[in-house]
This record gives sequence, C-alpha cells and structure tokens, in this order.
Amino acid sequence: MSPGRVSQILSSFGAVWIAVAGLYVVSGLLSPAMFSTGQVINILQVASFLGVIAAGQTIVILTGGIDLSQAGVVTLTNIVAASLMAGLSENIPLAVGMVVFLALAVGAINGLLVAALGITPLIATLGMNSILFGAALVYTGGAPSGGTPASFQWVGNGALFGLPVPTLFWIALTFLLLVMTRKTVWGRRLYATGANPRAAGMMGVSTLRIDLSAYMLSSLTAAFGGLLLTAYTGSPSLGIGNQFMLTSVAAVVVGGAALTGGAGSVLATMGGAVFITELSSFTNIIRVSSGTQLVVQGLLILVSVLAYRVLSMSRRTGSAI
Amino acid sequence: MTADITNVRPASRGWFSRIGAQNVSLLISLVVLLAIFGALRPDVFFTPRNLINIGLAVTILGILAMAQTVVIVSGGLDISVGSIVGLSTMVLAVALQETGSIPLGILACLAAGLLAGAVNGLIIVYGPVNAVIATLGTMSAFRGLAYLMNNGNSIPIVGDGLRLLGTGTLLGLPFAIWLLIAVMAAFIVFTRETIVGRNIYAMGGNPTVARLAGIAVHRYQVGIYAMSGCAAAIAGIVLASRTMSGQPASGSQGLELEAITAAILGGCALQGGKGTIVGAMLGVLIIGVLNNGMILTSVPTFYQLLAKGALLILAVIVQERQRTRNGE
Repeated sequence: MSPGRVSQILSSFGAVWIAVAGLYVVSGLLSPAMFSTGQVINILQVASFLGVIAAGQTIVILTGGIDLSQAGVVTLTNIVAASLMAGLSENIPLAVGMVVFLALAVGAINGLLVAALGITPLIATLGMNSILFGAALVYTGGAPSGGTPASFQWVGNGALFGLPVPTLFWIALTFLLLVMTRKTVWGRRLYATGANPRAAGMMGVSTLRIDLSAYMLSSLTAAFGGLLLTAYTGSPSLGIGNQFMLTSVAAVVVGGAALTGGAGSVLATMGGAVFITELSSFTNIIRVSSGTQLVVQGLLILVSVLAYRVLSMSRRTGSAI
Repeated sequence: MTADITNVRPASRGWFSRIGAQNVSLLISLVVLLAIFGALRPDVFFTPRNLINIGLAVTILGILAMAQTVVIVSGGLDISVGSIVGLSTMVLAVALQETGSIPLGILACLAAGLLAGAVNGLIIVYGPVNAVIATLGTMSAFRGLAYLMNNGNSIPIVGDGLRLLGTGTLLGLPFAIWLLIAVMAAFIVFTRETIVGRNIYAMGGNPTVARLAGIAVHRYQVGIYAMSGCAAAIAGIVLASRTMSGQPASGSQGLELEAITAAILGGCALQGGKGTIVGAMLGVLIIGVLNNGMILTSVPTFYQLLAKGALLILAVIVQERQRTRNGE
C-alpha cells in the first residue's frame, strides 16, 4: 500500500484516532489508573456531552461556517428543561418538545442571518449566543429553579450493555450523521457547498437550504447535549454551557476539519472529542496545575492543525507519485 | 489673515467628509442614545462626573477595539487579546515585585505583550494557520501561562506610583482617558497618514495584489499581531492600575469578543480592507453609553446582555445592507 493510500484511509476515518490510542497508551504507562475499565467508561461518558454538541458543529463547519451560539443553546436548554420538568416525570415530553422547538428556531434564525442576510457566521452566532444567554437570565431572573425527575436522570447516568446511556446516544447520533453526510444527496450538497458555495450554487444546489439545515442541526445537537447534561447533573445552572462555545469548535478542529469548509467528518470529530476529554482527564489524574492544562489545550489545537497540514501535503505528493 | 481663513475652511470640510457616511450613521445612533438616556435621567446622565465615568469604563475596551480594528482591516482576527491582558497584568506585577521600578515594570509588561502578539503572528504566517484557530489556541495557552506565573493566584501591587496612573487627573480628566486619547491619536495618524497604515488597508483588501505590489505581507502580519499584543499590554497596565494587582483571570470575561463587536459595529468588515479607528471608537462609545445608560435607568443586567447581542446583529445587518446597496 502506498503512503498516499494509507493517509487517504486515515483521513476518511480520522487520523485523530491514532492520537487517541497513542495518548491512551502513554497516559496509561505514566498513570496506570488510566488503564482501568472504570476510567475508560468515565471518559466515554464525559466525552459524550462534548461529542454530541460537536457533532452538529461539524456540520456547520463543513459548510464553511461556525456556530458559537451552541453554548447559549446548551445553557438555555438546561434552564428551560429543568424548569419545565420541575421534578415530575409526566412533564418530560413537554420539556423535551419545548427545548427541541427552541433549538430549531434558534438554528433557523442563525441560518437565515448567515445565508439570507449574508452576515459573517462568527458575528451572527456570537450575537445570538449573547441573546440566548441573556434570555436564560431573563427567564430565570438570575435564580434558576426546577430539577429533573429520577426517571430522566437515568438518561444521563444510566447504563445499557455496560456502556453509559449518553455514550450510546452519542454513537447512534454520530452514525446517523455519518450516513446523512456520506450517503445522501443532502450530504453531497453539504460538502459541495462548503468546498465552493458558488460552484455548488451554479450546479443547482440551494445553498440557502443547506446552510439553514446545517445551523438547525447544530442547534439541535447542542440541545441534545444540553438535555444529556441536564439529565447528568439533575439541576439547572446558568454557567453550564459556557465551556462548549470554543471546545466544540476545538473538537472539530482536532478531528481534522478545515474551518474553510468542505473537509471533515463526524467520525473524526468523535475522535477529537474523545481526545480532548482523555487529555483533560489525564492531566487531572497526574495533578497538573490548571495553568499547564490550559497551555496544553492551546498547544494541542495548534499542533493538530499543523499535523493535518503535513498529513495533507504528504497525501498530495503521495498521489502524485 | 485672509490666507488663514481660506486654509481653514477646506480643511474643516475635509475633516467632515473624512468621517464618512458609515460614521455619520454611528454618530447619529450615538446622539440618539445620548438623547434618550439624557431625557430619562436628566439629573445624572449629563453631569461631568457621569461622562468621565463613561470614559473610564471604555478605556480598556477602546484600546483593544482600536488594535483589533487594525488586525481586522489587515484581514485577520485576534481572539487572544483578552488572555494577553491577563498575562500582561501578571508580568507587570512580577516585574514590579522584582525590580520595584515602575518604568522597568511597564517596559517588561509591554515587551511581554509584544512578544505574545509576535508569537501569534509567527504562527499565523509560518504555520500557516488560520488566524481564528491560531489565536484560539494561544488564547488558551496565554491564559495558562498567566496562571502558571503564580499558581493561579493574583499578585498584589504595592506602592503608590502605579495607583497614581489609575486615580490621577490632569486638567480635570483622569490619566486613563488621556491615555485613551493619546492611543487614539497615534492610531489615527498611523492608519491615515503613514505608508505602512495605508498598505495595511491594501493588504486586507486584496492580499495577492498587495504582495505583487511589493508589500512584505508576512512581515506586516507579524508586526500587526505584535502591535495588537502590545496594545493589550497597555490595556493590562490600565487594568492593573485600577485593581492594583496582577490577575491571571482578568480580561477573560469576553473582553476579546467585546473588542471585536465594537470594531464590527464601527464598520470593520471581517473580510478585511475596511474599517476606521474613528468608527471603532464610535462603536466603543455606543457600547459604553448603552451600558452606562442601562445601569442608570435600572435596566436589569439580564436585559443588558440581550440588548448587546441584538445591537451587534442589527449593526451588521445595517452594514450588510449598505454594502449591497453600494454594489460591492
């Protein structure tokens, strides 16, 4: 097999998985606690929140956009779901329905701002994030209330076939999005729009519709992630979404997607989410200071971008030979 | 005498036309906001004390927004400035602790900012890495370095020298406002009157053409990010003079996003090549007046966030309309 072929396989699957395995071995050797099954399951459980949210981010980044309002959607979801459920099982359908409706509305507005009004995605979604966070504050009056019933908490903490429920949901969602992006007409149009929106438009692709669906999906997965987190923590918190604003982008980038659009995969983003969680879990276990953790996180983003550049260069020369 | 008059008139007309249609609409919005809050709180709003308060409140944001404007005009973006502010307050505090000399401390602080910015520029140019990703990475890394300097704890600054910068006044205006005015003057002269400044606009408008025209685009980029880092360090000095401490987490409350918001509000196009310092300062003043006015009229904090987000989106929609109307 030529090196070109190898890197081709790697890029479709996600070279990040090699880094995931490498980090696992290294961290396990340095701290045997990482090798325990409990720790692996714990990482998969924690990673699933980031992973579900980042799955939708991948779709938006594939179009060449970015969605910074996911953090606001997660927070609003958490607040609204906990308040509507108010600890009662019979309120679950109402709460979930409301949250999904809100997320789709937010995604539609984002999509229209970007695709119909031509506003830079970074700005449109940043403004939306501020609005959503403000809305969460207004809704709660600063003091979040409510909580989740025990039956809902199972969604965040329970296990099936030895795996945490959020992790199973994450795997199912990733698989669904993988099929949607790789095997459907919509998926081809998505990649085409991201690679060259003008050319896609000339081919008859409605880029407006693609962008709209991408932002709606991104909001929706953010809401799913928010629901899983709410089930996991069992209580509302106004700061719950903040961390995801940039980490969801980081997971996609570590997975190897190009911010310019048209290149990336939901499977690779899954690896990116596992890698980021694995790294922070490892740095926690070996008791590195939070300062070092931040430095490591920053370097990780830069190193992964540079590594993908080298990889794509070797692929180009490989296929030329 | 007559010669003087004829000299003055075209100059003043030129000054007005230089403000530009974009800035006129900003100026009108600012006046409308002033009128609204002035009418709602006539007792407090227009007092010199409150106006000075607004000025003080926007000093740090103003410095960052002007530097961000230059970065955006060049076609880039710097989201690490908030972290550099935090890092520079720590460097200042450590340097003051070690040397006890204020000039040396400030020098070390500015050098740290310059260095951090240059690192951004080098990564972006020689990676090459997309500016958003690069500064996203260094945002985390610089914040981490700030934490590492004293195990995540803040460092108090003793002595009255720096406090004077935070509390002293000259001709009735606080030093910080004079500093803001000086920085603004420097930026205006730099972007309008120097060849380097004009080259930055050319570079942002069309990097390829700029390169073919002989502009050393790479060297410019490194220089621009270094300048942005240095401006963040100046903002860090102002901040440290107020809190009298080095705070590793300072500047993390979305300061970089507010600076970008102000620059965009002031007419910057994220594609590069467009935006002015005066526009950015008008954007900063609008944000400052809005914040101050909403506090004075007791708008709940919660609605303030909503208003800011809506304002940002509205401003960009208006701009986009103007651009499509101009057929760009």
